[in-house]
Amino acid sequence: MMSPMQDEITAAIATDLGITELPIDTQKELISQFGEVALKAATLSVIGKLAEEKRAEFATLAEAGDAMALKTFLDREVPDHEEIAKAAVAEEIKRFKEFQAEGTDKRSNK
Amino acid sequence: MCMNEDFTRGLKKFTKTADGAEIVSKLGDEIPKELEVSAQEKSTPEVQSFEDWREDLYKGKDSKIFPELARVDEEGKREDTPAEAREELRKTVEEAVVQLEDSEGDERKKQEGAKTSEENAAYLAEHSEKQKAEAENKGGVIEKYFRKMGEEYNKSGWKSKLGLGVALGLGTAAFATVSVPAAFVCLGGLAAQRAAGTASMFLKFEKYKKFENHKELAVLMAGLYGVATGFAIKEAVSFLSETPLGDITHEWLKHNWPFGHAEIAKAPIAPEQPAAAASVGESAASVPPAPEIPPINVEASPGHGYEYMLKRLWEQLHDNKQLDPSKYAEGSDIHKLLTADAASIDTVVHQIASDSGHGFFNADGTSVQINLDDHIFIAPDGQVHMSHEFYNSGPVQAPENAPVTPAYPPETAPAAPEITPPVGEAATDHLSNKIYSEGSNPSVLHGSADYPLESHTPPIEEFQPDKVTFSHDEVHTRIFPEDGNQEREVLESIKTYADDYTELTVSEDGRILERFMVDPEGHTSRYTGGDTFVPASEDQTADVKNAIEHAHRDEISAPQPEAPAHAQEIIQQSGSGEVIQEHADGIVVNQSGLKIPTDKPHFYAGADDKHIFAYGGGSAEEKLKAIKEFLTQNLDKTVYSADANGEHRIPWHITPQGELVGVPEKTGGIFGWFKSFVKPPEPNEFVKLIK
Repeated sequence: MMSPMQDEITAAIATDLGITELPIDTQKELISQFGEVALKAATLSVIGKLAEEKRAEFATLAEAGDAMALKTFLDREVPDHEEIAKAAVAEEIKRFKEFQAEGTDKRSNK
Repeated sequence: MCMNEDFTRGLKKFTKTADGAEIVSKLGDEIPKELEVSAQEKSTPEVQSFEDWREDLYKGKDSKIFPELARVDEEGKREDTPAEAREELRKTVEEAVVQLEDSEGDERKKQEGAKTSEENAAYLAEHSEKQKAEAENKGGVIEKYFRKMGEEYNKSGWKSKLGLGVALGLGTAAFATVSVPAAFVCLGGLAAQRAAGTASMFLKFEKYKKFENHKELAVLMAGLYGVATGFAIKEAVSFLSETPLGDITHEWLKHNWPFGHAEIAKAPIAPEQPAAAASVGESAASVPPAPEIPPINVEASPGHGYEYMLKRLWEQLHDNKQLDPSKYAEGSDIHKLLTADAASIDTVVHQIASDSGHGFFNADGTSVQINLDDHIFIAPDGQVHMSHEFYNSGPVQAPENAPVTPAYPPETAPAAPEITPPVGEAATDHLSNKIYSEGSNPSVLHGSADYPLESHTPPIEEFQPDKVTFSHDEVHTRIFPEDGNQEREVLESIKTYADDYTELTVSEDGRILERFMVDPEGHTSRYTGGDTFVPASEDQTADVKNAIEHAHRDEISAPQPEAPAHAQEIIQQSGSGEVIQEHADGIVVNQSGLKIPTDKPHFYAGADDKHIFAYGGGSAEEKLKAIKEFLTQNLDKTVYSADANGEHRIPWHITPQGELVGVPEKTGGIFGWFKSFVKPPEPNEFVKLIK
């Protein structure tokens, strides 16, 4: 059993992903899996806006774990990086929901 | 495998209920064929439904149906104890229930036309592969970083993944104010957990429903962004201090800001102060601005203790080639770990783990319990900290208002003396929480349930763990199974909450065996898994009451707060709570006015004239020598003294062969669960000086 706070956040994300009907362990697995997809999507979207010669610097700062330096770097190189990353995550959520709706649509069309 | 026939009958008794029928069907191939039930056919009024039957499995000796459950070999000989067999059966049943629920969920999804778990997982896996291919197209450096990011993510625990999701804006739009750069760099680190902590604060605020003004809420959340990433904590705190939510902000910071929180929400921080120092509150002046601290952390894992976790922390630090030890204060944990090499790391982690300043081990010999939710990390002060809850990333520290032991600054902390264990006994090993071995002392062992550690959090509303804990005592206890199995060491943890609920958990090697809640009226409930508490039996209620009372008797009290740290005369409280005085010359004056030298061993009579105590002395050897000398001249006497580590009371006597013998004295306890070791003699027990 998770702590109440974890329960609440898990429930909020599960609702966002439309997987609340699944068993809690499955929800956790999918949230975990989706988190990786979301993280990678956000990363790719921000890197995509970076000039090629700046990408290595991004990777170095990110790997070093220096959040403040990375934020300063991104503020300078990709001023709207927050919006770009969040839009990428939102797009992934949308795709995931569409994927789920496909099954529902097909069945309802039968 | 087939199910034991008797057991099948026992199960089928409850197939009238839908759940019961499903479970029987599900369990058909799951039950070990050797499992035998000899008395499950009893018809009892207490067990009428499948849920009753399932609950009965957790009642140990009080089980109505399975009191003598056991597995037998081919010759019909019992292979295990009823407790072990019940545990095995419980595990099997609970796994089957989970499988059943999972399959029901998937079936329901199919019927509704939605995707199943497998379909969702396959979609995400396929999508992840596409992203990998996309990264490969962006060049070698990015591909390498991308791969490493994936590996780090997969190594991260659930809490960190949840935090990352929050940092990326999953869940609700409100969470989207958490830093994305923090998500890029945290990869399972502290930032992710702070991000989730921020989400928890949002949830708390949301419940208050006081922020109807969206602009105000936006400012608030911007402040939280700062708290989550450490970029702008002083602005957040200053803002929140002026709101009606100052108190709950203070409470939240106390749990989530790992290096100090005193009065932070009520005393706005001076603008010129750096964020890190500002949050230290009163101790800000003594803490220099710290260099960048890598966001690393190590999560607890089954069977591993502080030293193991510290060593993993050392490995992570050394993985980061950019860290320069010279940037960190000498004497700080991060400096120690960065300068340690393979040859010295064992010594270094031992020193850190046993250092009283870290609070891992208490002066009374108890140690902080490590749960699977816990993790250690390097805080901005450069010291190793440990957190207890996902949303509680504060350092190990006694709860507010809880009795505490006197704190010694690390540089003046006395080194643990190298001492010889009592005759015939093994030394106490603090770092593995081991207690003296002792001769067999068969007693009765209650049936033990093995619950996952995450179930440690009470599921009932009244038992919310984020309520203020007023005290937390831990007592190491040994249990002696009646079937002759090896003695086991358990840890009793007793927490008293602000609402006067008391929680008792009995755990072994990090696994919770038993858990009880006592409400303010004294009603005792026993946790049986899931969301279920059931009324405890009379015996259990008595056991729990006994354990709690015993722990409270043994509480170590705090020093008087007004006492000056370096005064010539230090006022302190004894273990029983009475005030004694300790003079600079090493003389202690107890409540009876008796002067007690502490530099050499002396012998004292107790109030009943039957007890003789040995107290004082520079080393364990010196004390043992004096005790042996005294007892050689008083062969019929028993002398009580502290053990080599000052944790337990040892009654010493001389054998006819002239050997000095003593084993730690234990309290009575009931049913073996709540036996614990008696505290060492203390000055207030002494009435007169004998020698």
